[in-house]
Formats: sequence, structure tokens, C-alpha cells
Amino acid sequence: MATIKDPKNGKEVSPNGADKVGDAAAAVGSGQTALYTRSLIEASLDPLLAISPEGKITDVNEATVKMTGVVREKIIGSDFFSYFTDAEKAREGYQLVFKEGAVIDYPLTIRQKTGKVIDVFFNASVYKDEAGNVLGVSAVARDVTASKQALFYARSVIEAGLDPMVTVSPDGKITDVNEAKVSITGVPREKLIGSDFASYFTDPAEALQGHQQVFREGFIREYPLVLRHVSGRLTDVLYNASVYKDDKGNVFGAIAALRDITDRKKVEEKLHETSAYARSLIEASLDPLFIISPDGKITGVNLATEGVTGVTREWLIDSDFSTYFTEPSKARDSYRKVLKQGQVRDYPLSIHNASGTITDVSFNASVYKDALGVVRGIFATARDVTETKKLSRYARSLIEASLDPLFTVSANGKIMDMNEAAIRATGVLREKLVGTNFPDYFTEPQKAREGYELVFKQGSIADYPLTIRSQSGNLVDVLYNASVYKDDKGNVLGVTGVMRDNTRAKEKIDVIASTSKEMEAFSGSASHDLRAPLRVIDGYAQMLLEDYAAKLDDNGKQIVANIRASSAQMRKLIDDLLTFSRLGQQEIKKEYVAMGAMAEEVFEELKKAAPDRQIECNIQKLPDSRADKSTLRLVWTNLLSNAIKYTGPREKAVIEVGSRIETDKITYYVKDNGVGFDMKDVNKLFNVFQRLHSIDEFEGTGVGLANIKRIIERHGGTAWAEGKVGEGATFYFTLPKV
Amino acid sequence: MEKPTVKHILVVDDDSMTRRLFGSLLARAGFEVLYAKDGNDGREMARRLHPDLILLDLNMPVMDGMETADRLKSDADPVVASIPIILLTSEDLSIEAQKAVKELGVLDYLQKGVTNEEFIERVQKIIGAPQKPAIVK
Repeated sequence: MATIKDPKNGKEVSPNGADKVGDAAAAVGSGQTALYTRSLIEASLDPLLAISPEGKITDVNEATVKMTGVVREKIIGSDFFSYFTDAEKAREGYQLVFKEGAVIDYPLTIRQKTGKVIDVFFNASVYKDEAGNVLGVSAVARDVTASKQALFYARSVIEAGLDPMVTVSPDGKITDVNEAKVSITGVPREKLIGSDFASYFTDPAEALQGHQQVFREGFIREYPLVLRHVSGRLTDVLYNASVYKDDKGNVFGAIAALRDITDRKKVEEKLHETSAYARSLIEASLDPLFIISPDGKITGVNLATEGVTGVTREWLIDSDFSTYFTEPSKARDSYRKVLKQGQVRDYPLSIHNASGTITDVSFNASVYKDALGVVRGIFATARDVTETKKLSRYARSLIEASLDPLFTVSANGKIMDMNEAAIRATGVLREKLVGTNFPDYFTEPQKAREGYELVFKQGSIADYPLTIRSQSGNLVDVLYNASVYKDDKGNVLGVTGVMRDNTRAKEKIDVIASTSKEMEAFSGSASHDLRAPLRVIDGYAQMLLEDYAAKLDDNGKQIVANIRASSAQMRKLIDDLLTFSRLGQQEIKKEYVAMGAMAEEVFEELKKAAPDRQIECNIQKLPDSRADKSTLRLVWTNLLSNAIKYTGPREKAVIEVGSRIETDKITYYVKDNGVGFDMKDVNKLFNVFQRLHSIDEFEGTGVGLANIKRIIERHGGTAWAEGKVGEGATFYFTLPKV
Repeated sequence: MEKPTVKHILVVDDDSMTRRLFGSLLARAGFEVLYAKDGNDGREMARRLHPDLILLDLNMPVMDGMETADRLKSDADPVVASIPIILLTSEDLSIEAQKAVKELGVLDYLQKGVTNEEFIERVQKIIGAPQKPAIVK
């Protein structure tokens, strides 16, 4: 063991400095107690610090050295706050300790010399000498990067502070107490120390008997006593105690905790008053502790160890360490590892209780050496990881709660795990699913195989459509969403994937579709209702022009003419919008359409409306189609009238109508030598009310192409355009091949 | 025998602006115009005044044009039942109006969007030009 400093007077203490245990007052400040405390402090893998009221670090353990990355000599005397990313927050926390007496789970972030940061929770409390003078702050930092540790820590801290604590010499004198003990008796600390332990109970003889049992058997558990407050108030307590020894095994006192079972809450409040000294002792003792000799024999344990093994201290001491584990060889391996590496962290083992129960624990262990540097053994703390296991069970329950089938699949495509929903979907029992080929449960095994292989390749996959075939032949359309999962070393272990029932998604799409139908119906009826007032405006404007022409000057007539022109434009807009709305709602009735004849007919009609234009229209032989005749006619009308309109500035308009037959569709096109458009606008072109030219340049409402797109899409085709400013445009649309 | 010189037309429409526009157009063409704001009023006035033509809006609250037309056509008074009715519709192609023509004995239907000239033309085709001169010409 390293050189030890007494935390109170700073003097070095010899590990063998044990005096007689009889002197009660001496025992408190004695090297023995300090030695024992020190051994716990150093063995702790959590950083412990003592800080002076000025904020200078006065003592640290090895874990602190590791966590800060600064050597002990440099830490001692340095500014406590300088080790944190937020020094101000650290200072506030420190001040809080003085104000409140203690802080619990105060979150701070340590910045290592290397720049690495570690999130920690600080528990700290003021520690005082017997006279009640504040000596400084004792603090424990716990790395909370792992949440299970945080959970455990919170629990241990609460447990630790609850109970009145007392250390008692073998002759029954109190040698030290904590604040809780002071308050439960109502006797000041100075008077408690050195007084008879048994005298504070209603039945001193019984108390004495319990105390003697501690020294006789090494411990006592849940021994019921009634404590008397000076005011006469009685408190039912359970007396838990164990002897404490030096490293030679000499008993020099008993540590006792009195658990208040009448007013637990009140005691909880005393948590903050608990002295740092007593707390550090208890805190360490909450985890089962093992002190193991180099030859693997247990040399020291605590109450918790007895609890977890179900074996009494007498039997534990000198027995083989490994025998208390479900896998002794693994326990021995861990032991060798500690000796070789100096320490191990989070080593998973399971402790076998004599009653048959098994406790999963995580071991933190380190080698301890004597002053000469000789390895004396291993100090190991076991942490109950039942909480962590609970978390994994929780995760499991979440998996099971999923209504969507879930599978985990190995790299070679074998099913490793699944949930109930997966069992239902496949209609195959869990035992029969495990180890079988994942792709076999789908209508397209090859596609399923490609799916999970893609996950291994890319790390994840989203909305990959598959169809599950159940044993009874039921088919369920699903979307496969999956990602790889890895161990803590980053090795890919397999693929976890959820099958989202796509039929539900399809229902949603239906809802959206019906909503948009309603929207269209609304815009349809709204535009419909706009017609009536518009008709009135135009009607009166016309009457004004006709009946009051004599009273209006030319300017007045022009104004009324403008009203009429705008009314006409608006009427066209409303009509187009109504058409657009109707196209979304109307049934598409497919019938045979002679495309060439239809295009020809439409063109001839349009040409009549532009008799003074010189238009050359070359309509090639077009393949016939199956389509809704009236709406398809609208497509040709819009496309050809656009072609005529935008070739307006050309002396001679040249329009070409052609087609291209592909494997599953036919592409038709209308090409012109008009003004064209900029390809950067190509995506706007088919939007409702989208116009690329001013209304004065080319009249129109900007609904025509939107109508074309809608009609073609409702036929299962697509519509697009190509163009260049000044060089004409080509509009394409496809229809599925008959 | 001389026919009455004045031709009365009853315009039934819940929208006052529309009602008055058509009324104005008819008045300046020389017709006597009566207004009713809904189907009930329309029936009442038809019974009392026996107009030569009823212009009936299809889409009205309380009693729509279809029902009003149906009741007028089956009125106990044969004069009322024989008054020609033209339904006014804002639809481009009203299936209801077509049905009314076919089944209720309604004479015809008119899209409200027709031009002023077309509107008057259609009315005159049915009941003839008014005897009395138009207000303005």
C-alpha cells in the first residue's frame, strides 16, 4: 500500500501503526481508521478529492490522477476549478457545498490534459473535525458516460446518506458518529463520542447483546432496537453492523448503521448533513468488496459481499475467490488480468448466491501494493448490473411491443431473433424461425436477400418494399427498414430490421388522396361561385358602354372596356381552374383513340381561328392508343394551341407532331419553332397558373400545361418539355402501351 | 284580336345582383320585369300575376329551382302550370337542368355566362319581342 497521509493532520501514517483499540477517542483520528479509509479511497476507481476552503486540492486518489491526466504532485495544491470545462460552474458547485453542506449529482465536465472531456457527477460534502470546524470539502466524481453507472450512483448515494452511523469500540464506546446519529439522539457529537453506545436505546442490555454479537460473529443484520432521543422521542431502528479490521485482520471496532424504520423520510433529509468521512466509508461498502490475496484467497469482504454471496464472513475469508461465481474459470481469468494489467474495469461476472439466486455484476478491480511496492493482493468492487439487465429487458419489451414484425439477421442471412409480430406475420414458431433463412419468408427471396445484403453494405436501408408470405399463404406488403448493429468494438454483428405494414401506409395515402380531392372540390365550387358576381360586373359594364355611350368620353369608354377585358380574363381563369379541378375528380374512361386523326382534327379547328397565320404543321403517322377521349382531346388542344401561340412572332410557324414507340410506352411529341423557353424554368412549366411570359406578350392563364400533366398522369404516363430561348420548344407525353 | 301589349317576365334568383342584372337587361329590351327572391315567393307571384315567362335560378336555398319548377308545373291552376320556364344555371353543362327539361316540362335552360345579346335573343325566341318599344335604342 502506498504511503498514507492521515486526512486530518496530514502526517504520514504507517500501515502498521495500529494501536490498541481500547482508546475510543484515539480510534477516530487514529492511523488505523485512516489506513482503512485510505485503502478504500485508493481502491476506488472513482476519483476522490479533498479540497480546502480556498478551493485548493489537498488530497486525491489514483483515479483522480488518471481522470485528470495530471500527476499527483501537481494536482495537490492546485486550483480545483481549473480541471473543468466550466470553471465558473465548478466554483458555483463548490460554494453550494458550503451553503448546503453537501451537493449530490452535480454535473461537471472534466477536461483532460490531452483535451479529452469526461462528463462526471460530483457528490461532495463539507467535512469537519470533531469540534465542528470546517476542514474542507470531500468530493467524489463519477464518470457518467455510462448511464447505468449514473443510475447506480444515484442509488448508492441515497442509500448511503440515510442512516445514522456510528463506530463503536469493542468495549462498547462510541468512537465516531455522523450528523444523522447526532440528530436522532439529540446529543451533541462531543458528548456522544466516548459514551456508551448501548445507553441510547430503550433496552441497553439488548443493544449490548447486539453489539457483542458483532464482535463475536463479525457482523449483525437488521437487529431491531429502539433509540431514545433526549426529548424522550423514540425511534424504531434496525441495527446493521460489521467489524472493521486493519490489513492484518485485527479487529479494532465496529461500523454500525441504524436504519430508521419509523420515519425514513426525515432521515433522508439528513442526507445533506452526513459527514464526508462517514459517507465515504459507507459509499464504498455498498458494493460488494473483495480483497483477494495474490494466491486467489479472499482476505477481506464487507456486508454487501455477504449479502450477494449468501455466505458469512467466516466462510468467505480464506476461501477461493473463484468459487462464488457461476464461471470460476472466467473469474480466475479476470483475476490474472488484474495482476497483469494492474486493473480491470467493467468485467462481467455472475455471482452465485448460496440460496441459488444469481446476481450479474460488473467488476472493477485493481492491484494494491504495500509501501515497498510489493503486490499484496487485489481490491475488487462488484457492481450489481441488474439495473442494466433491466434496461435490456426493457429494450426487449419495446421490441416485443412493436406491432411491426422485427427480425435480426446474421451476415449469412440466418434469422437470429424476432418479435411476436414477426411470429404472427410468418405463422412460424420462434424456435422454428431461429437459424432459418431470412429470405425464405418472402414472396421474392432473391429481393429479400439483396435487401439485407444492402444493409450490410450501406449500414442501413429504408422503405425497401417486400411481401411476407405466411405459412398459411397470407401475403402482407411491407416496407423493410433496417440497420446494422455493432458490438462496442464496432464489429458488425448483424442486421436489425422492422417490417412496416405497407397496407396501413396505403390507407394513409388514400386518406391524403381523398383530402386532396376535397380540396379540389372546394376550389372547384369556390371558383364556380366566383362566376356569378363576375357575370354581373361584365353585364353592367356592357350595359354602361351600350346605354351611356353618349355620356362617356373616350377615356370613360376605355375604362369600361378595361373592366370588361379583365372580367373576360378572370372568367377564363375560373373556367380553366374548374377544368383543372374537374380533371382531378373525373373518372378516366379509356377507349380506343385514333391519335393521328385526333391531332389532325384539333389542328384544323385551331387553324381556323388564326386565318392570317402561315402555319406548316407536319403530323406524322401516330400509333393509336387507349385513353379517355375528351380529356386527351384537351391535351392535343392545349399542346397545339400553345405551338400556334408561341410561334406567333415567326413569319412561318413550323410545327411537327411525332411519336416514338418504346417497350412499355409510347412517347408523343409536339415540336415548334416558336420563342422557346429557358431550361432553368422547365420545372415551373407544368405548375398551375405558371406563366413564363407576360399576358400582353402571350395571352393565357397558365393552367393549360398543368391540365396536360394531370391528364397524362391520370393515364399512367408522364409529361415533360425541352426548349431553348428563341429556338422553339418540344413537349412530350407518354401513354402506356396498349 | 290584339294580344296584351306588355309581356311580363318573372326572375327568380336568390342573388339580388344577378336578379337585377337580368332584370335590367330584360327591361331595356322592353319587357316588364318582376322579381322573386326564392322559390316560395316565385310561386306566389306566378299564381297572382301569371307572368308570360319565368326565369328560374336552379341553385337556391330553401326550395331549389328543380322543386320550384316541379311545383309550378303541377299547379292546380292550369294557367300557372302552362307558364314557360327557363332554368338559369351557372354550370357549363348542367345535368340537373337537362333532367328538368326532360322530366318536368321545363322549356329550356340557360347558362348565366351567356352574353347579354344571346340572353335577350333566347328570351325573345320563346315569348316574342315585346310590343312596347325598348327603353333605350
